[in-house]
Amino acid sequence: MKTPRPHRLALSREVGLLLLLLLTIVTFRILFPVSWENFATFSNFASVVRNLTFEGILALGMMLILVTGNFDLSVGATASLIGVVTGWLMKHAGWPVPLAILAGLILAAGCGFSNGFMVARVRVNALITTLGTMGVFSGIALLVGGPGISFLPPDFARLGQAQWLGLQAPVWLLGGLGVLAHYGFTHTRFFRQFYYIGSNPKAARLSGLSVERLQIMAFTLMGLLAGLAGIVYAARVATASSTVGVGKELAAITACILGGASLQGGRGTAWGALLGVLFVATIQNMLLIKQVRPEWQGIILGLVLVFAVGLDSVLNRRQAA
Amino acid sequence: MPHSTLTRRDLLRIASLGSGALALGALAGCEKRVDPTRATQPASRKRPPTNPDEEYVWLSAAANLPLFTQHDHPALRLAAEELGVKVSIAGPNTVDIVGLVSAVEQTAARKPAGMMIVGWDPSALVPPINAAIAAGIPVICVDADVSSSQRISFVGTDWYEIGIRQAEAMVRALGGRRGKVGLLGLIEQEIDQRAFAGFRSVAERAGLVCLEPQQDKASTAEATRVTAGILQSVPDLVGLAGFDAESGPGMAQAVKEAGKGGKIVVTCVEAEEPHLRFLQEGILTACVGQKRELFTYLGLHVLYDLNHSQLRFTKNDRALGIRPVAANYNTGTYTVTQETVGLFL
Repeated sequence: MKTPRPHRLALSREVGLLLLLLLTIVTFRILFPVSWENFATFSNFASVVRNLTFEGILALGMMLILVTGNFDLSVGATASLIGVVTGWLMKHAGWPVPLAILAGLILAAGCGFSNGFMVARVRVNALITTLGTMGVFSGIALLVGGPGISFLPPDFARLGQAQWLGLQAPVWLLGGLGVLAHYGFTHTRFFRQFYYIGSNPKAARLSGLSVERLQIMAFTLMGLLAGLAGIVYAARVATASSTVGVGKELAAITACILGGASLQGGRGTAWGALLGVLFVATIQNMLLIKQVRPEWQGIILGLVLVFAVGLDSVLNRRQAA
Repeated sequence: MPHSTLTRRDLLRIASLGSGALALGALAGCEKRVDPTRATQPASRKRPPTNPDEEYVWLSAAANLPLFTQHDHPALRLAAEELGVKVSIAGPNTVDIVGLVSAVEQTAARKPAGMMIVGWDPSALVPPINAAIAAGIPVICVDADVSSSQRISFVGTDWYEIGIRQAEAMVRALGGRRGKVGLLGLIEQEIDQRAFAGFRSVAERAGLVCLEPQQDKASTAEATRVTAGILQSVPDLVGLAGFDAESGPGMAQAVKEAGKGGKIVVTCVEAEEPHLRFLQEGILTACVGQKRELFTYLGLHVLYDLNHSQLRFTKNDRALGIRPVAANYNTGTYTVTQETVGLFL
């Protein structure tokens, strides 16, 4: 079977999005020279990237799931759950920081594994499975975390608040994860298998791949990344919030689709997912800086998203013709 | 935090015991002065025998919100214990208005002794509330009102007052400084709009310019992101005020990360552990707390009185639509500042 080339398959989509992002920035510069002065600063850039790290980490995992032809609605709830469980272990059970983080990550992988097992082995639809586990995980998060677990140990908070070159630790972590994911998808056989099973599961099965095992692995990795997002956010704010992940699953899916992934599976790249998150965050930031009314912010953002995906679709059709 | 929960419960118990003691004391004090011809009156005020099957239902969207589970629900159970009645909790676990309307209708169909509803949507809830009232079920609103319905009573905070309290704290902390103030909250909610109006009524008189309120979707992460944008775009920002439970920690996080802690006055609603932490750190200036426990504690007493009160105003109160309860109960607020935060932790 011919090896798919993920970095080439979706290249045009991502380059298109990057160009659209640059075009938007240039338009903003021309139309709003006064607001531009507040937008084009390093502190604003640092603030934008700092605030997208949570969705960014989730989007990397979601992209993997989308590539396999599934999606996971429980990622926000998993992030909330792992954040509060890790916080609870540190604060109320007195566990050392590294051990609590390790336990949190193991639990996160377990959450993802249970989703994967239900979808791949029991063959329950991913929508139903993850909708159900979203309820379970968010319910447990509320039971454990209540209105939030504050005053987390300073050693833990330092992990999320440390700065290097003016950017906070979570930003560097996201960058590192992005590079790793990009390398994995473009240069390793293991990660390329996910494209096979996403684009044609029957053919992948016939060629000897264990589709079920790979699907379970994808969900497990998603769970792990969701847990990591929850822990990193808790460290950044020194508080574990039981509702931090509410609605983030849709934000992650939107960013991935915008960045070139497909709900049908077999498409998507790591940097496309990150670009999708950055695109949404930049538009939101511009609207805020321009002090646009919140009602209009939603309308404008929605229109821009539809325009971006629509434009890509038109360009793809032309290219194919 | 278990410590704070216990303290609140203890406070409630003490408050209820205190009220009981006061009432007894008052009765005892009055006994000496009472007219012998009216001496039989206190006997008629005795609580009727309790019925353990008498069920009252609390309904809300996002029924398992931490604020509810930590404050409203325990106080509801405490009141039920004291009155010897049964209480139950119903409603969707997400902000699902259709689900809440359905829960209200289904609950009304089994004819409970009373219903207290958190009015998440002041329009969608009107028909089911009116239908329940028409079916003879006492219905009150708690926490958030549905004032255009036929609900009998509202028990909760006056959100206009929350706005005023925050503005007063901000003006005090600014000490005469003038500039722009950012507002965050659930902008579509009626209660938040009342709070914004209350805030403006004080802040604008003090020479502050209030920016257009921004949506934070009751999410700490969103409040942080939005605040970060405001901090970038408004150089002469002197204050921030937040009006949902997650606004405070979210705004404080953004202010801290921007290195503007102590330079910008930040006030918010609610005084939970995450809020108090930022207050202690000096990032938040003041938190206006709601006496949430009173919503359900007092609410259940109101519903109970609607069924059992011996008070009579006319020969036929029912026919005249006169109820033995007030139409509105303002449960009040308390303000926590950096000076008093130690008492709350």
